[in-house]
Formats: sequence, structure tokens, C-alpha cells
Amino acid sequence: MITGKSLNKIYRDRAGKSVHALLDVNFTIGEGEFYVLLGPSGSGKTTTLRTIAGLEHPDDGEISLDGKPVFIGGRICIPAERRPIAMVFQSYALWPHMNVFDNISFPLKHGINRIKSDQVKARVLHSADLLGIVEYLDRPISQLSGGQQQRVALARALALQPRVLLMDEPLSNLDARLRGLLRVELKALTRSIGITTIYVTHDQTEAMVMGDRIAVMQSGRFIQEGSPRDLYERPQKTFVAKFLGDMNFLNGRLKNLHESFVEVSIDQFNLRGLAVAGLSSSQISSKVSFGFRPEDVSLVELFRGSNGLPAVITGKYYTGEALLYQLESAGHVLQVRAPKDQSIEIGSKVFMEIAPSSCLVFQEN
Amino acid sequence: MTKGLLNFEMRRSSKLLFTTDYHLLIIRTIAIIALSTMLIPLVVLFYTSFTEGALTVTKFGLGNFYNIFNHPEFYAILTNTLTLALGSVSVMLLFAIPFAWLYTRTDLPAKSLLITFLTSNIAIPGFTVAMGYVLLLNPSNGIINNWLRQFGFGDFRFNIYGLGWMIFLQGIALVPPAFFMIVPTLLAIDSNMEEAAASNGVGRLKTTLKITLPLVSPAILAASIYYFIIAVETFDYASVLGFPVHIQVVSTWLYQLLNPGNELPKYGDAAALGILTTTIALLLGFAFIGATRRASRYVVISGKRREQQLSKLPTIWKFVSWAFIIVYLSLALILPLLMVIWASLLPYIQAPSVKAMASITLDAYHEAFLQLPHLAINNLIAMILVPTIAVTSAGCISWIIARSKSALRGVLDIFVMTAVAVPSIVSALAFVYFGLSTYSIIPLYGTIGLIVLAMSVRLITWANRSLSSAINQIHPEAEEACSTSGVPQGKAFFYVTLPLIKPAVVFSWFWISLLTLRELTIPVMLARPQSQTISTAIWGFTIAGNPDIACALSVILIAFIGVLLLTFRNLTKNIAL
Repeated sequence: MITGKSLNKIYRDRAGKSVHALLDVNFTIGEGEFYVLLGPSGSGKTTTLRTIAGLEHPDDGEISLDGKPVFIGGRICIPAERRPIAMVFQSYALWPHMNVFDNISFPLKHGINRIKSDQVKARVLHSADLLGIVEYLDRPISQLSGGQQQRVALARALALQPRVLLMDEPLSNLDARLRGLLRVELKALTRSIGITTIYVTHDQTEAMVMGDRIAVMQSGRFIQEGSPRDLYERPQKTFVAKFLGDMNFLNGRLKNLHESFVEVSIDQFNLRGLAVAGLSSSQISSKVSFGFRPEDVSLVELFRGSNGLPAVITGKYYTGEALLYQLESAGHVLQVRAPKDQSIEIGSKVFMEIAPSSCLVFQEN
Repeated sequence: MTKGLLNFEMRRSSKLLFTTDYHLLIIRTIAIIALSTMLIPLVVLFYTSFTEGALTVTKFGLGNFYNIFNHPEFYAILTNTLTLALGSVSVMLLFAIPFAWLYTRTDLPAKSLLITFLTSNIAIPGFTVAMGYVLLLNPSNGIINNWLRQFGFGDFRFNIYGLGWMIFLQGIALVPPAFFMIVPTLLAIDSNMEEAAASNGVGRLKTTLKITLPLVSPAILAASIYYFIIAVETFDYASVLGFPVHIQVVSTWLYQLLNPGNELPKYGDAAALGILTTTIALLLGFAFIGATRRASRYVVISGKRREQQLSKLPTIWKFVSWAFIIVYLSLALILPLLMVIWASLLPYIQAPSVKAMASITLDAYHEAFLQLPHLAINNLIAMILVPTIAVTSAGCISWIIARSKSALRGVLDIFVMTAVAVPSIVSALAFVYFGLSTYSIIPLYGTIGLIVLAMSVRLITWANRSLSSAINQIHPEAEEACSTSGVPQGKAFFYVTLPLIKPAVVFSWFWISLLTLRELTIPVMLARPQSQTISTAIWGFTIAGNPDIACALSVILIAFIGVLLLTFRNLTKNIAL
């Protein structure tokens, strides 16, 4: 129900160089879906959201909301106030000279989608009730905590009963504990209303917990799109692998290509892993990156399995829920997360055992 | 679909005017009218400067510029003007920098009084200060000179007339506004930067010289350039202290070209001189923009306002500092004020004595009150209309500049900022031409209407400074939240932006209203018999040799400004600024 087709946007930076804010961005978001745009700052995720909102416009491409075109490069451009959306901003963007009730009711009274004046109060109350802020309705904004302000911002958006809810890093100004709580609540709320949501964040945990589908962006491009599990377990690019969680990388050469796995030689060792799309037999003996996640490794004293490397423990850190080891192997510094009862002395020689299905082989960039 | 298409076409074909958002249409219309009004006089001035001869028989050429450059006193006037401007800015800095530092960075007791004193300084217009000093120090019968004669100081006399006193008095008059321009920068500097220096073992003096001073120097430079331009345009001191001894600067020269006594006004020459002055000021204006940009880049405004570390002044320095402040206050405010009051009560000027006390009379006030009604009505019109027009225009313009995404935005920004560089005496001159040449269509010339228009245009740039900084402090998301919840941009301006900048709007309105009351430069150029204001009448009586009536009118004007100032203070107390 929301589509973006070949969106491009170029702006000039201070030095006068042209930078792609959006580079051939395409997306299709289904009815009721919770869609997360994830990426580091400057990757274009907020620009994408703002073009959907109508606060900024792409140079070309097409956007449609609810099946109706709202932007077709050079021909159609519906202004933000006429799009069937509501948006929650990073700064909350509450109007400080109005109290909570007025903040929620102002768009209902003065907006393009205004409703009959005798219905305003009911609508505000309903929305405030959803967010649990009925008791604050006549308070001025300045007397609310950050979390309460965020609830008001959300109530204001939902009171409009939009077809699409857009959120731009709405939780990033809150402290970690509150962020964790609101994350879960927000997800449950949008699911229960069944509203289509587009959510921008740079926080990978937030993206994983909330998103039905995540699009990872970098330098104005969509790098990979998929479910949280897809992205975590089958990243297509080393950037995605590194951005969602941690991953160790070893430099090696592609040795053999089999039907279900590939073989990579690292120093004098051979390891097996899954090929990431794009690898072909023509690349045999070319450089590849061999990646695996710190939690997928077992540290053993005696190597009995078939996929592994010898290593020396160089560091040991207690993180509370696990033990984090730093190891040196084949000239690389690696990290391994082990159960906290598995204590190994620094300086010990160990073997790292990794299941081939947990290893990914990427083309060297 | 068609509707969307149409909408987009309309936005494309004329982004400035066509919109279905009527609130936005109103804002844009006001901004366009205001910007044109700012532009038209300059165009007229430019045109006139190249037009030789009288208004009816004209030809095009460089003759006016030739006349100006070949005027026998051209270089003398230029030197005088530069000396006056540089000198008065130096005097200004000599007081303003220590005051600003004492106020922001030291534990000087009762330092908030400094704000009250410097604010009340605005109540006494520049020309009354000059008049007060003439009464004290003129060589023939100045009170202090008479004393010197009585007490046998031989032939030594003070002579108030001349560049020296002009520089000093104009300089001390610029201190309050410069102080208010420098203080915010000093307050905004994160004292972490100084603490960082201190914690690395750098001494206090060295920290001040090497860290603080470089941080505030762009702000000081910006204030210097800005008030340099003001120093060039100010008519008050140069006219009262320069005319009697034929010491001319650009502003008095311009006045004389337009009011040459028994000759025809030399409009073309005046325009050429105006263009010349504006060009120089414009170059300075660009330097000013550069300096303010640098100033804002240096100032790191952290989200949390930290308490700044205050220097502890030794007791002796507390006394010295207050003595310094009191000396300033006496010279800038108390002495001239007392003098004007004293002179208003006497038929002719004499030193305070029993004999003088006996001749005290209210005759001058009697005459002043006879004059007052038709003057005061003009002042009243101006003090209400000028701030209203200037603030409304500046509000619309600065909002468009702050929120516009079009390429035009940069051009507008530069235009409004450089408009500061058009000296008000030149701007007034431009409105003389504008008024004369449009007289057959709109008979504004000779009415208070033209004065209102000229002052409004001049003060738009002033209002723009405080309003645009207020608008820029509002997070754009507060307005974007309107758009994304279905409230059009124009409506967002009226319901969200305007209420949020209300303190700045009220502040600018009152301040401009006060400035309008004490303004002499523009009214004196444009006033005709029906459009005299209190300030031009005071000036007229001074020139005509009636200092007692001039002083009585001054006292009335100062009292009126004083009452307004108090009202303003009480009003702004209730609005949390």
C-alpha cells in the first residue's frame, strides 16, 4: 500500500560536492506492516521518511500512499498536509504554548481533516486513553517528563487516525530503561490498531525487536531488506553483518564451490561456510571474507569437529550474561562469546569450533 | 489526480504567490510589499544620482558625482566623517567592553543595576545630550566656562564645538546598544573552555587574553562595524556641535545639500553622495555579515546552560568599577539631563545662583505646551504605526527566510542584512525623492505618512535581527508537525510560530516605538510644516536660538519616553522573556 519507485535526491554539501541523499531507492510496504529503516547517521533513512511525509521531495521517482500517487517526479506533488499520514518526531515537536489537550486537538480543529467540533473531545480522550495520559490532559507541556511527552506526541498522531504512521527516531531522546519499555509498548499498540508504520532508527536492537521488516540503508542506498532474522542470519553484505550485531571476519581465498557450501583457505587451514549471493566458480582462488558471529563459536581444548581454527586467548571480559574472550588466530584479532561458567586462562591455546551453517563467505569488496 | 496535478503546477509556476493556503498568501504578500518598499527608494536614489539638473529639465550623466568629488571640502568632510566614526566607536568600546565583562563575568555587587542604568539611557535623545553640553561648555556663555572666567582661570575655555566633543559624546551614546549586543555572546560562551585552560595550568590573565578574547572578538568586531555605520549616519551630534563652527561630516553635508537656505536644493548631488556613502557602508556591511557568522560559529551553545564561573573582584576594584560606571552615567545621562531641565526653567542661560533661582519661570513650558498638540499627534501616529509596520514586515520576511527551501532564500537573507548598511540619512534622502516623484499619485510628501514609511523601512532590518533569531530558535519540527498533521504552513505560522515568538515581537514593538520617539535623523530630513515631530521642533528651536523652549520640549519628551520605558519594563516582567 506504500510504494517508492526509483527515488533519487542529490544535494550539495558545504564544499559544493554533490552527495546522493537517495540513490535509486525502491520499497513496497504492505498494509499493517511495521517497517523499519535502519542505518547510521547520514545514510538517508530520515530523508526517505521525510519524502514519504512530503516534508522533502525527491528529485525524481514516484511515491504512492494508500494506492494513490502523492509524488510523481515533475508532475504530481501533494503537500504534506494533504497526505494520509501522521508523524512522530525525534524532538517530539510538541507545541510548548499549548497544554496536552490542545496539542492533541489542534490538528483536529484546524487541520485539513478537521472533524465536527462535538467529536473532538471524544477523539482526544480515546487517543489519550490508548497512551495512558488522560490524567495529564490539562497540564502544560513543560511539566511533562520526556517519556510523557513522547506519549503525547504519539497520541496526537494517532488521534488523526492516519492511514500511515511515520516515526523518526522517536525513542532516541529517552534513557535506556524507558526506551526498552516503550519499544515493546509501541509495537503492541501499533499491532493492535493494525496501522501501517514506518519507523526510522539507528539502533539495531530497536529495529530487531520492533520491525516486521527492516531495510538497511547506507549512503542513500537500500543495502538489504528483510525480516530481522533474515538480516541477522543471512546478511548479504559485510556492512549489514557488522551493523546488526557483531561479526568476526577472516581474510581467505575461495578454494572450492560445492552445491550447499563453499571451502575457504585461511593460512594453512580449510574452513567451510555458506556462500553469500554473488559468489561463482569463476572466483575460485580470489580473496573472500570469512565471517561468523561471536556467539556461534565453541571454545574447546581438543579439536574433534571438522570446522575450526586454533587460537590463543589474549583477553577475557565479564559482561554479566556471558564471558567475552579476545583471541588471536591466523593473524586476526577475534571475539568469542562463551557461557559464563566456561572460564579459560589468558594465554591458553584453544580451538574455535564453528558449524559451517553459521559461517558466511562474502566477496571481498 | 487532476487536482493533485493542478496543485503541483501551481506550486511550480509561481512558488511565491500561488497557493491554496490563504494564511501563507497573506504572509507572502506582506513580505513582498515590504521588500519592494525597501528596494524602491534605493532604485530612485540610484536613478537620481545619475540625473543632472533640476527636477524638470534633466539629463543623464556623472555630473553629480563630479560635483561631489570636486567640492572644495570633499576630503576634509571625508576625513572628518571617518575620524568621527572611528573615534566614537573607540570611545564606545572603551566603556562597553568593560561594562559587558563586569556584568557577565564578575561578582560586582548590584550589577543588575547596570542594565537599568544603560536601558534608561535610551530615554534621553542624542540631540538633547548635545544641547545640554552646549549649555555647559559653549565658549561664549557656557556655564562652566563662565565659572572658569569668574574664578580666574585666565583665558582657558572649554569649546564644545568641534570633532573632539562630537566623538566623545556620540561614543558614549553608543555604549548601551553595543553593551546589549556583546553581552549575549559573553553569556553563551561555555565556561568549560576557560576551565579547561585553567585546569591545564594556564593563568587567569592568560586565559582571558588567549581564550576568552579570541572567542568574543568576532562579536566585538561585529558590534564595531555595525555602530561604525550608525556613527556615520547619526545627525544629532554633528549638527548641534558642528554646524555653528562649519565643521561638516557626510550627514550634515547631505542635510545642507537638501536645505541650502536661499538656493535650490541640490537633489542630484545629494543622491550621488548618498550612493557613495552607501557603497562604502555596504562593503562594511559585508564585513559585518562575515563577522557575525564567525561569531556564531565560535559560540558553542550547549543544550544545558551552565552556571559560569565569576571572577572575584578585590574590594578596591569593586569601588573602582562602580566609580567608572557612575562617571559614565553622569556624563552620558545625569549631567545633560539636569542641564536641559535647568535651562528649560530660565529665560536665558545662567549658572545656578540665588539670582538665577529668582528668575525661574515656566514661560518656556507655556510656549512648549502651545506647540505640543500638533507635534504630539504626529509622534503618536509614528510611535504606533512605525513599530507595527516594521514588526509585521520583519516577522513575515524573517519567517520566509528561515523556512524557505528555495534558492531565493540566500539572496533575500543577504539583502535584508545589507539593508543595515544603508545609512538612515541616505534612506531618508531616498524617501524625499520617492515622496516628490510620486506626489501626483500618492500625496504622501509633507505628511507624517512619509516619515512613518521611511522610519518603518529603516527599522525593518532592526526588527529582523531580533525576530529572526527568535524564529531560528524554534525547532523546525514544531512547524513540520503541523504539516504532517494536516495543518497548512501558513496557519502554522499564525497558530504556532507567532505565539512562540510573542516575547520577541512585544520586545521589538516597544523598543522600536521608543526609538521612533527619539529619532531625529529621518524626521529632520522629511519634516515639513505639517509633519513636524517633537524632535524636529526641538531642533528647529535650537537653530532659531530659543534654547529655553527647545529644552522645555526636551524635558516633556524625556518624561514621556521615561513613562513608556517603565510601562514596557512592567509589561515584559509578566511575559517570561
